[in-house]
Amino acid sequence: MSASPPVHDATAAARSRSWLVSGLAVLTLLALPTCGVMVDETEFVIVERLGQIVQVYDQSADRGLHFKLPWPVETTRRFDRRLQLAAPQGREVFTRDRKNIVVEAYIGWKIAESTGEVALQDRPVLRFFRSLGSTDVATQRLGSRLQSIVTTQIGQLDLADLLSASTSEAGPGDGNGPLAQLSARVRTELQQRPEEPRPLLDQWGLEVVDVRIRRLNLPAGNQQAVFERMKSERQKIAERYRSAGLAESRMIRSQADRQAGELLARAKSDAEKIRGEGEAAALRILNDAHSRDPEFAELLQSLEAAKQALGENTTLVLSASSQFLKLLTEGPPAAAAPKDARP
Amino acid sequence: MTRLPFLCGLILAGWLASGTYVVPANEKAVVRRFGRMLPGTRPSGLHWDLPWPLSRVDRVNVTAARTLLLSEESVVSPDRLPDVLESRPAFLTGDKNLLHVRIAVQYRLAEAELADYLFRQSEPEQRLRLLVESAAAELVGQSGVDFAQTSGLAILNNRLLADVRERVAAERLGLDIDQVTIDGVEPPLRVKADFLDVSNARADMAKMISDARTLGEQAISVARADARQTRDQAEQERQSRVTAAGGTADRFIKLVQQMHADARRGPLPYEASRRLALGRYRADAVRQILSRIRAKLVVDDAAPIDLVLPRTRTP
Repeated sequence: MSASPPVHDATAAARSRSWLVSGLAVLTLLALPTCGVMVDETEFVIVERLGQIVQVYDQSADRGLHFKLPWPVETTRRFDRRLQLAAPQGREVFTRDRKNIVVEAYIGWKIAESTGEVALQDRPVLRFFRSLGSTDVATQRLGSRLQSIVTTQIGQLDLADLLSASTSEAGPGDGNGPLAQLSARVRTELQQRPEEPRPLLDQWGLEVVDVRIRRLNLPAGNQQAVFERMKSERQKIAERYRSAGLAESRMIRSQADRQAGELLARAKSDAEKIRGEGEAAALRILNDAHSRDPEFAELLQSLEAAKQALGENTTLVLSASSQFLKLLTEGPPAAAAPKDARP
Repeated sequence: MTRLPFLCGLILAGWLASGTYVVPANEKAVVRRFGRMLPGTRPSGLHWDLPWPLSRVDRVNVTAARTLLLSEESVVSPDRLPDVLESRPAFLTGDKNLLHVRIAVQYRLAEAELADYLFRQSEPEQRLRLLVESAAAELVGQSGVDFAQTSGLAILNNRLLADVRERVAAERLGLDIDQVTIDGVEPPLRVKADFLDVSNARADMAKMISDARTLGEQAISVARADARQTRDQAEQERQSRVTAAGGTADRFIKLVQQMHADARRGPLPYEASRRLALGRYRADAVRQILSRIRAKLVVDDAAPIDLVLPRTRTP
C-alpha cells in the first residue's frame, strides 16, 4: 500500500507531464508559423507588438524572411508597395477665357519607400497607415485632389494655350507640348501646393510618380456646335482646294499657250528669213545671168509673163489694127532693131 | 497511436513534393522565396523549390508579342443611333477638331526587367494604356486636323513611338515596345462626309492640274511640230526658188552664149540672131496663148464696143 501511492503518483505525474509536453508541442506547432514574417517583393510590412509599432519592413533589403514574437503578441500589417493607378472620370472645367472642356487625367502613385537610416516613426508607410489607411481611400483622396488642381490650373490658361496648332496643317513642335507642361505643373502641385506647409510625402507618405492628362475633350452639349464648325471649316477648305486647282490649271494652260505662241511666232519669223534668203539668192543668180543681156532678158520675161497671165478664161480683145493681126493680114513689118545689146 | 507519425510523415512528404513545378517551353519562371525574389529566371523544364506558402513561382511568357489596342468602339453597328456613336470619346486636335484615333501597341516583356513588370506595379497593361493615351493626346493636341489625319500621320506615328518608348523606359514598366502604330484616324461620323469632300476636292485639284499640264504639253508639242513644218516649208521654198532661178539663169546664159558663138562663127551678127530668136519666141507665145484662150474678140478701133455681152456669153 505504501508503494502504490508513489507508483500512482509517478504514473500520474508522468501522465500529466506527457499531456503538458504534447500540449506544448501543439502550441509550439501552432505558434511557430506566426513567428515568421515573409516580406514579399510587392509589400511593405509593419509589425505591431500589442498596438506598439516595433518594426517596419519598407526597404528593398528587408524583403525575405524575418522573425517576430508569435501571434497574438506581435501582429503584422501589409501594404501594397506597387504603383497604383487612379484615373478619375473626366470632369468639365472652364478655361480662363470661359470655354468649357472635359479633362481626363490619371495618377500613378505608390507608398514611398524609405532609404537609409530613418527613424521608425518617420517611415512613409507609417504615415500612410495613419493618415489614409488603405489604397482605396488613398485613390479616392488623390482623385479629388487631382480634380481640384486640374480645375485651378486649367482656369489659369486660355483654350488656345492648350491647343496650340495655328493651322489645320500644323504639326507638333519639338520638345514638350502644352499638355505635357500642364501635366508637369499639376504634378508639382499635387506633391505640394503653395499654401501647404509640408509635401504630400510627409502628409500621406505617398509618392506621386506619374501624372498626365490623358484626354481633352469637348462636353457633349457643345459637340453639336463643334460639328457645325468642323463642317463649315471643311467646306471652306474644299472650296479653297477647288479654286486653287482651277487657278493653277488656268495658269498652266496660259503658260503653255504662251509658249506655243512663242514657238510659232519664232518659226514664222525664221521662215520669212529663210524665204528672204532664198529670194535674195535667186535674185543674185538671175541678175548675174541677166546682166549679160538685160534687154533680151526683159523681153523674154515679158513674153513669159504674158503666157502665164493669159489663161483659159481670159477674153482676148484685139484691136483690128493690132500688130498681131497686122502680121496675119499684112505680113511682117520692118524689123524693129534692138537699141543695144551686150554680149 | 503508431499510425500518427506515419501520417504526419506522409503529409510532410506530400507537402514537400508540392514544391515541384514545371516551366513550359515558351515561359520563364521567377521564384520568390520567403517573398524575396531569387536572382535570375528559371528556364523551361522541371524544377523544385520550397512549397507554398514559403515560395511562390510566377511563370511568364517573355517571348510572346503582345498587342494593346486603343480604340473606341471600332465596330460600328448599323442598328445604333448616330447620337450614341458620337458619344464615344475622341481626341481634340490642336485646331479644336475632334478625331477618333486607333492605336495598336506591340510589346514584349523585357526579360532583364521582369521584376519591374511583376512587382513594381499593380496593373502594367493598364498603365501602358494610359501612358500611350496621354502621349497621343499630347501629340494630337499640338497637331492640326489635316496634319493628324493625312499629311503628318507618319511623323506623328514616329513621335508617338519615340515618346512611348522613352516613357516606358523612364517609368520602368519592364516592357519592350516593338511598335506603336496609328492604325486609323477618323473624323466623327457626323462630319465624315465633309472630310471626304475635302479629300475629293484635293483629288479634283490634282486632277485639274495634271489635266492642264497634259493639255499644255500637248499644245506645246503641236506648236513645236507646226513650227517645224513652217520652217521646213520655207526651207523648201528657198531651195526650189534658188534651183528654179539657177535653171532660168542657166537657160538664159546658154542662149546668150550660143548667140554670141553663132555671131562669132556665122554670118549673122549677135543682134540679128537675137532678133530672130525673139521673133520665134514671140510667135511661140502667141500660138500658145491663142490656142489656150477660148474667147477671142476682134474689134475695130473706130467702133465703140460693149464688153459686157461677150463676157456673159462665155461660160
